[in-house]
Amino acid sequence: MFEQAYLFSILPKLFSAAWVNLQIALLIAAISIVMAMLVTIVRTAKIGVVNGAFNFVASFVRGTPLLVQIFLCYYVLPSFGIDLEPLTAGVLAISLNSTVFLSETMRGGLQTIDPGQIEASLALGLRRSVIWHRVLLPQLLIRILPLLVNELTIIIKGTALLSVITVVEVMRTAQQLAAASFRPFESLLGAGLVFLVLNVFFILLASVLETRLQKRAT
Amino acid sequence: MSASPVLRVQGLSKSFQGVPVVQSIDLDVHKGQVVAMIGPSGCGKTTLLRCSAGLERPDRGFVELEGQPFGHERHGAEIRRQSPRQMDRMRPKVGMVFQQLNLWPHLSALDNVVKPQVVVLKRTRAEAAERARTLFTQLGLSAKADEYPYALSGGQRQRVAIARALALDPALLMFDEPTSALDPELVAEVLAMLRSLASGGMTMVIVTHEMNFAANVADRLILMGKGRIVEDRPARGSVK
Repeated sequence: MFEQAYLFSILPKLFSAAWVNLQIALLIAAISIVMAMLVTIVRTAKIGVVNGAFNFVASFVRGTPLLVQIFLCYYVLPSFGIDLEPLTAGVLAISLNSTVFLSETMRGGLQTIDPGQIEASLALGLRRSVIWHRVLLPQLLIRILPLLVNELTIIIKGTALLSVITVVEVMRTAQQLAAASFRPFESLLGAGLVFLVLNVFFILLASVLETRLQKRAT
Repeated sequence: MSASPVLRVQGLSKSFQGVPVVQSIDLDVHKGQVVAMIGPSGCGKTTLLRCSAGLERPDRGFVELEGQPFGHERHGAEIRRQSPRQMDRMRPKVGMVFQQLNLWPHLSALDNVVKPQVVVLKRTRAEAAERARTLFTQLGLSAKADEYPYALSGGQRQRVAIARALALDPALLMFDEPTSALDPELVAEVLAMLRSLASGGMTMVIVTHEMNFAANVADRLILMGKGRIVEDRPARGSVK
């Protein structure tokens, strides 16, 4: 029997556990956006070895499940002498995953920016680093905003996978509650609701930002 | 120094994929001159402009701005390419107003004019904003300072692009087809603006394919054809 009262009773616990997911997700998002921007800049230099190395890592990241990548970071890296805390290993794995996807998104987005933007900036005497910083990256971020939010929701959901390497967050809390109460249905539904609320919040926030900013990128 | 032409082009040639576009052009533009360059599409006028602005590297030949080499330097018999840094230092001397304007869409009209001054000339934000506002007043843009480019009309955008170029105090202002991206009724407005810049002593090179416009705005006409200067004569509509 589905028990609504039990579901409501565990929501406060689940929402307070959601702080962990939220903080981890925002940290990962920040790391991956910065890393993806760096990767994007470096890739435009078209250095064969560097781009080859990136493509190698990218095909591994895109071709294997995130869960496997998290396991590798936590259980396999120690045998190479890199012993990470569960949280650190998890942040590393998801950040790597996200960096790869975001840098693909950014590479695509960059191609939609009119080359005239670079020319006009060069003609005015802006240096290449300044052109990236002041002209290309701001326009790029505005253009790919919807895709950034999409990636953020993937990251948020991805943090649930950290339950398998003992990080106590929403999913693990729900599993613990389910084990103690023998009510897996309510517990997992509760966890689902928490993720839904987090994601819907960011999706709405983004759509507000998007309508305000979108015209400034074309 | 004052004897040096603002722009000197010597023996400039440029090919794209083996097709010669500009062939051994010599050209001097002196201070205060308004030169209209006209010719059919593909005659090389835009390429000549882009080489002069340092946006293309000529295959042969030299560009000098106020007597200083831009792009290539001669050291006796040896010809050296300037580094991007060396070229960047010279770039503020040439203001370029592109056919597509290429305003920065993510910045307000005012910031489009302020940012390059701060970044390139190291002016303070206050100095740069003051200069921008003065230019906006001259160009009738005061009410539009805080608008973003998407909210401006074609004519207003063009004036922002002109203000952006002028804010760096260039010795030479170059226009690539200033009328082609505008509605026909705005041509008179552009003409009036270019004339007022000319009467203020601005040295300008204007690439256009509209003979009437060229004759009205310039005091010197350069006709190009097949990558060469075919004719170089005073224009009737000289403002001086």
